[in-house]
Amino acid sequence: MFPTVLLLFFLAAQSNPAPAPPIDWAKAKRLFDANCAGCHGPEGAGGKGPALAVPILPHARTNEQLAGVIVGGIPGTLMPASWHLGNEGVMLAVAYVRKLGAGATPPKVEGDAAKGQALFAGKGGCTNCHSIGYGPDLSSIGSRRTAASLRESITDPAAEVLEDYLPVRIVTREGKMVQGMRVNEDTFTIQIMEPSGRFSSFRKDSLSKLDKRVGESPMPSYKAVFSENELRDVVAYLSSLRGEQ
Amino acid sequence: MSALAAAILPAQVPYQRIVNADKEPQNWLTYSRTYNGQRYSPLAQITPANAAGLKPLWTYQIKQMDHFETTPLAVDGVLYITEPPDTVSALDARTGRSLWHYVRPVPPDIRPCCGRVNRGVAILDNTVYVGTLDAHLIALNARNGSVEWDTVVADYKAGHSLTLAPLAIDGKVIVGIAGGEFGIRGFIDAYDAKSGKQLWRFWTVPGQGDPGNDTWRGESWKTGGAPAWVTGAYDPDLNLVYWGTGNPGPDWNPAVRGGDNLYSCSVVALDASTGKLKWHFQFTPHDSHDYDSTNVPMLLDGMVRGKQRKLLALANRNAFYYLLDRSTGEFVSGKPYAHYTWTKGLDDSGRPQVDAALEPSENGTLVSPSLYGATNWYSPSYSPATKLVYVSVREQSSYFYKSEAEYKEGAMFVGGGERAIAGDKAWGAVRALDAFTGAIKWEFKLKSPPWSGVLSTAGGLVFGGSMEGNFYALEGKTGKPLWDYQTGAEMYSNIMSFGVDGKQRIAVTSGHALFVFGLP
Ligand code: HEC
Ligand code: HEC
Repeated sequence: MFPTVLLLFFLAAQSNPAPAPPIDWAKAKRLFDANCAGCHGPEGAGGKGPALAVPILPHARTNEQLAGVIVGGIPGTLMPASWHLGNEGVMLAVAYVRKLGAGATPPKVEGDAAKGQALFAGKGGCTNCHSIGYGPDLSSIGSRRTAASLRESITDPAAEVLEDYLPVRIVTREGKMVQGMRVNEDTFTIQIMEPSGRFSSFRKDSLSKLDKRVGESPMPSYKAVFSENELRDVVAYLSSLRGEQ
Repeated sequence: MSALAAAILPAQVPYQRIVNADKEPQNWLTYSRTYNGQRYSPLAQITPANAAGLKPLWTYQIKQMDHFETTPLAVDGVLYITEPPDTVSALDARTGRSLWHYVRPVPPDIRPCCGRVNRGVAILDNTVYVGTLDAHLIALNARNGSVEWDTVVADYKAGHSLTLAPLAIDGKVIVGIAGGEFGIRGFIDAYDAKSGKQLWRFWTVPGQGDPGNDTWRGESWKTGGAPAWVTGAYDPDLNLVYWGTGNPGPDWNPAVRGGDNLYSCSVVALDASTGKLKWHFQFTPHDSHDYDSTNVPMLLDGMVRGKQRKLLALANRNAFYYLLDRSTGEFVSGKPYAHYTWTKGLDDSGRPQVDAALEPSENGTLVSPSLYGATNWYSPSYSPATKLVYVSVREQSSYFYKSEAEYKEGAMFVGGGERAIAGDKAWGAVRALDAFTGAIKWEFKLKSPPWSGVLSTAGGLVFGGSMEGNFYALEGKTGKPLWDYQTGAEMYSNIMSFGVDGKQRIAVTSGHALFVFGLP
């Protein structure tokens, strides 16, 4: 058989620890490079996952929370469950992430956040989607993403689309066309949000076409919209959004 | 309400009633309804013509958050169910109102690998039997739930547990142990139904000096796993019990246990009177992907290549559908029913041609099917009317990892793990296989890999459930969807059908509730 829920098991094992064995840092680094650096960047500098070389990790303030995040992942996000590392591996990963955090200096971001905020609401029209729930909540995006990956999100949104934001185009048997983003789906029905924020729901057997635009993002690219300076300012603004710390 | 009172007669289920279960299609007297493991209901009131009118009639909610995986037994107007972690309840089949509960506290230090689940009870004469997470087998008075006996099957502290529905046959109750992730040594046991005394034990990992022990390098047999955590089947004429066995331990680091590792990932045929091995067939020798063969074996008779045969059919977690001769264990055929990469195929004896490059590795090896297999513990169904086997299939692959494994009693002994490819790349299906050739006749696609089994009925329907909460009916001949209902939770379920007041009902768990459907 095997596990759907191993978290409890690991956490229990963590909470009555044997005397801590000396950490094999070379092994810890290998483990981090193989399992985490692909998303969190070399030395935890950040990538499509947040920087881990930071003083405070909101999801992982205690070591137990950190172990929990590693074992169970963060459901609904890219952060995967890594229970396959085993007790020892999880312990090494925890130690390594803490070591990265201890040596951290906050990255310097170029650009003018105030100008960026104006572009966000004005020229960019970003609030059209991000304030109505059509795009994801960005209020703490700066603590989760590096400047480089934020830049990529704006210039090339399709490069890495969040799973929960699949663009779809449907045509009903009566010929009505609806475009939007999949909000939910089961074997028989699909729920869609249109860019206006309006929800609609369809039985699949009432559709003549259900086109899932895998690899596309509902968000347009701003490569041709913003100048280089404007782009820098918007990134600076997003980087400053750190939620409640 | 005198009719209600009259319906609740004391249970009287002598062995012969279970053998002749087809004479009382309104009841469901053993895990798969019949000893042959077919999970087929002879009830025929609900048909493709009227299935669209199915409605929920009552719902029974449990109080625990664990998965609710029970198959209810139906006996003369009473449903007997298990609730997680270790509760047995008797319900009025007409209304879902409870008649009694047996609540057993779970030791606080218990940590089963895979959830605090239980898949159902067995009944024989006036007694209901339940296995528990702390590896006791308990006999309850079917009338009020009082304990008749309580036998310790094994030590839970070493990782043993019972999650399956016991199998009650003539005077005996048979159980298989769970705990394959803890380096236990697996076994299948028979207990005297009246006294709870052990009658025999079959070790699924042979001991020193026994045939098969040499398929384990060194001392590795002592922590060899091969649990037997899903209910088997029984052929009263041959007096053989058939049981699937699970993975060898440690799961993903096979280096320490060189050899074929008998009788892991096998089906064993045991003499029901003595527990002696009559034959075995190993589907996945020296497994390194946790491809348990703990799937319900279906016993069916029919023509294969011009010859009438007594067969055992098993849709294996490893993505192949096997037919064996159930008298001798001879391999008859093996055909894939789902995507697979772990082997190049099967040779003429049914042995897989395993690609060593696809073993788990330190940085992960991408293999199909995923750790959870092409199917899992939930039941398949065979319809003698369509001669099709229906299987709930998972199409998913995952990265398999290998790491060091050191045995410590009661601790996980797995040597690695997996990371499954999730999201839209993983999907599911119900597939209908020609029972005697394994050819896929139709498929009905599901949004994601399911954790629900299927039920086929004489009315010509197949019922199934999805992880998005869809409970649905398909036409058995074609797979055409006829009806569906959103139950509102993930479905980890096995489906059954019963009759009350002369009306057919379909029962299924979803989330933390048992739903009963029927035509109003
Ligand atoms: C497939 C990409 C991916 C991989 C691989 C990955 N992560 Fe993550 N991780 C993420 C993302 C994305 C988030 C942010 C999730 C969110 O939106 O909250 C995250 C969040 C985290 C957090 C929470 C940070 C906070 O702000 O509190 C920690 C800690 C973490 N990851 C550690 C790890 C470790 C350690 C590994 C390796 C064992 C790992 N991750 C592997 C993508 C990944
Ligand atoms: C048409 C609606 C729409 C508009 C306009 C829009 N976005 Fe988005 N945005 C989305 C959607 C939907 C997603 C999620 C899908 C994805 O990751 O591509 C997203 C994702 C993002 C992300 C990644 C979020 C994460 O959690 O990883 C960032 C950053 C972002 N948008 C910034 C912006 C900025 C800055 C603007 C304006 C310059 C903007 N968006 C305009 C819809 C929109």
